[in-house]
Amino acid sequence: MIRKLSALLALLLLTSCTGARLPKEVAARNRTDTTLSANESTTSTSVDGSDPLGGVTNPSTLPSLPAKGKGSTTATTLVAADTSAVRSTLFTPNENTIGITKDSITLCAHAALTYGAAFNTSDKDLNVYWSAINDAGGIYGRKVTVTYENDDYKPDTAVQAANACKQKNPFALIGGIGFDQIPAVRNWAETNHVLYIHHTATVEGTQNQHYSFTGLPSTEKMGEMFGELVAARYRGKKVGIIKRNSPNWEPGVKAFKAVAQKYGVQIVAEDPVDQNQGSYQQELLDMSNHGAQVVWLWENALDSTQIVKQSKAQAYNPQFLLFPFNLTSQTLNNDAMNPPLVGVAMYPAYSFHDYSGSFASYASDMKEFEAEYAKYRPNADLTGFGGDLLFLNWTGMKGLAVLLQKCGPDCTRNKMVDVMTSLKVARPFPASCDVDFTRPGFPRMGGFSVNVMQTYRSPSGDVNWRNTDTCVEHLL
Amino acid sequence: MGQVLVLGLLSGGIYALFAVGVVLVYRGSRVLNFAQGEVGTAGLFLATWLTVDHGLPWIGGAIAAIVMTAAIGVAFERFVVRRMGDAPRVSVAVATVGLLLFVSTLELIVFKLGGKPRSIDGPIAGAGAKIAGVVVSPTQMLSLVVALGIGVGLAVLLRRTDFGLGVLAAAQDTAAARLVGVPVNRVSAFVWGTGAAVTTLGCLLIAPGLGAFAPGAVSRLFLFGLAAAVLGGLTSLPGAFAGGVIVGIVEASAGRIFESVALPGVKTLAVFVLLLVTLLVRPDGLFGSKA
Repeated sequence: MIRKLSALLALLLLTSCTGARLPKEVAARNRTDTTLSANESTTSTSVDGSDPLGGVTNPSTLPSLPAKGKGSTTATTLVAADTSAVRSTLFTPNENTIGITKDSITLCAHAALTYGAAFNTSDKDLNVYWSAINDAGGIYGRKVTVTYENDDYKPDTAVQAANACKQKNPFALIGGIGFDQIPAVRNWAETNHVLYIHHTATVEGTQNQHYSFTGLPSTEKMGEMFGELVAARYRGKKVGIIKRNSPNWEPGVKAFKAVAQKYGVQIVAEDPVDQNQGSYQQELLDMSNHGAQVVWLWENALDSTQIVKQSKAQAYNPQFLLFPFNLTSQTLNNDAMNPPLVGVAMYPAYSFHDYSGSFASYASDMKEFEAEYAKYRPNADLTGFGGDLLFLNWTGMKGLAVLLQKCGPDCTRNKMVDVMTSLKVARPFPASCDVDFTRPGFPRMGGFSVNVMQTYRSPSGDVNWRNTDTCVEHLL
Repeated sequence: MGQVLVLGLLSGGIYALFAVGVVLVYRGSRVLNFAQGEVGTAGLFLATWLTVDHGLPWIGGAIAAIVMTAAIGVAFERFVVRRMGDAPRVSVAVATVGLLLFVSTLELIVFKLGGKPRSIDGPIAGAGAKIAGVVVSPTQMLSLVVALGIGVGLAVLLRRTDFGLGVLAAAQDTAAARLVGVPVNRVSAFVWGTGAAVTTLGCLLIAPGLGAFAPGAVSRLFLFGLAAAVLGGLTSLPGAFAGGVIVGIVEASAGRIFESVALPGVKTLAVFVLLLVTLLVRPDGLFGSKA
């Protein structure tokens, strides 16, 4: 019996040790450094609130808008429809119109709903944007329905969730946050011919893929921007890296180190850690022993929170750089202010009811977001740990609405592919960065800008994040 | 070297606490309980809710948590383990995976009410002492002492008392034990309840060092605790403590030896190799006896 159980445990340990590895492929990485300016937005037109139908050629095909003074402003046209002939032939005629009818669009998302509880959010909280859109008439008269399948923040469960989504015949599968989940689902999408629009992930392994798209920067870009942040602000200081032990996170580290090397940043220690490792004393001592004055945490929110907390307990107080979530800053409270934490994100900062400083440039989106939540989910906690996540989800859905509007009244999957290979628009709404799907060497990718943030004591008394640099493509 | 030893002892104390709970259940029922870590975490949430949110003293929250998780252990024994009396022990072990999933879900539901990752102070306040460059908190020191004390105390209970001998007898031959008057059901309930309670105590002592925790936060630590239990022999409580310390030191040593190459997964790999080699040389573990 002992031997049987021992063998079982050995298997568990081996699994924990090796993890699921995907074959590494060389990515297309012909970088260009062009930056969009506002007047480069091609056929698309950003519209201000005073002219909700401006820039659109056929108003009769647009969602009906609420009467003036009523409802929200989310139905405002963000971009004009693409009226050119469909070029893509990726989907067969049978596949082409799955999930879209004259009056509905069905979407399904895989997301770490397990952890939604940690952020005090639920799937109903995630659909507020579409509730507002649908109440205002939908997208070209089509009501948008998004359902969610829990991926448990794990690649294998994410593939199961994708399969569950496929049973619902969605127009597109949406991929939530998850460096490890998305590459697994991308492979699945290729064999299942499902249109997949996902969050940030590595570009490795995508050069022969056709069904997956993202409007956000890649894992590599995030690593590169953390590297530029170090080179710009902390050059001359010793830098340490505590990184997730995962092949899907590693490309970000490579990009970081490439920038560090280019600008002469001294990396003195680099320690891989496992997800949910729990104790990070050894890694922190390693950083401390090597005199690291700046430590980049390439880990998720909860693990990063634990690392900073354990570092303070060890009386080790370097400058931490990490993914900025209010969960981390609010949990750490004073520990997040001495010194303030610094982060890089593919989403904008959010602090409830604070429209000052760097929030001012997208305060209209924040107010719209808060008004819609007050109307549709008045019990959702926007002040707490989940507030910034709900805002990033809301902006993500608004970005998706941009794509669907661009796809037009005769939208099909192939037309959507056309959009996500040709759209180029400067900040389609205030909280968004530029979208450019036309960059050479970056097929099916539309995001190249990030927000740099820092913790601050918000007017509510919580320690939250705010942008110090908004929508920047380079810091050097 | 000094740092590695201190780090190894600190981690080892954590693993030993988990291992002791695992071994107790195994000795009393021949079942490996995969749910123990998560049951302990559930207790941790209750203690945090009582102490942090409602101002109860640490000891009050700890007692409530231990009582609740012991009750979960007893209930699982009463309604699942006992009903699977004749089933293969591996089947019962698989049933504990079901308990793990159930408790995880329960935590998420309860956790949602709290709405945030939690943190809890330890039973003893203070800055701690710096030993070989490592700041060791009073709670971390306490956890080592508690792990050793519980291991030795339970070993004495099982070897030197009629009730303890009844526990061992019931595990080896339930029918024979019942014939000679051992209260088999009570014995079984005792090991499952106490196993859960010990693990909860471990979680309570570990949590301050983690800084923040969420459901599943101790899963990896518990896996290493399982490794420590197998290494120590699965039937030996002192072996569980020794296994915990050995796993902790091997993990810390591997981290230090390979730190310059930043080899991914090297610490887990080192523990796996240690376990494999030990089981090849001593299939019943370092201190175990034939099951």
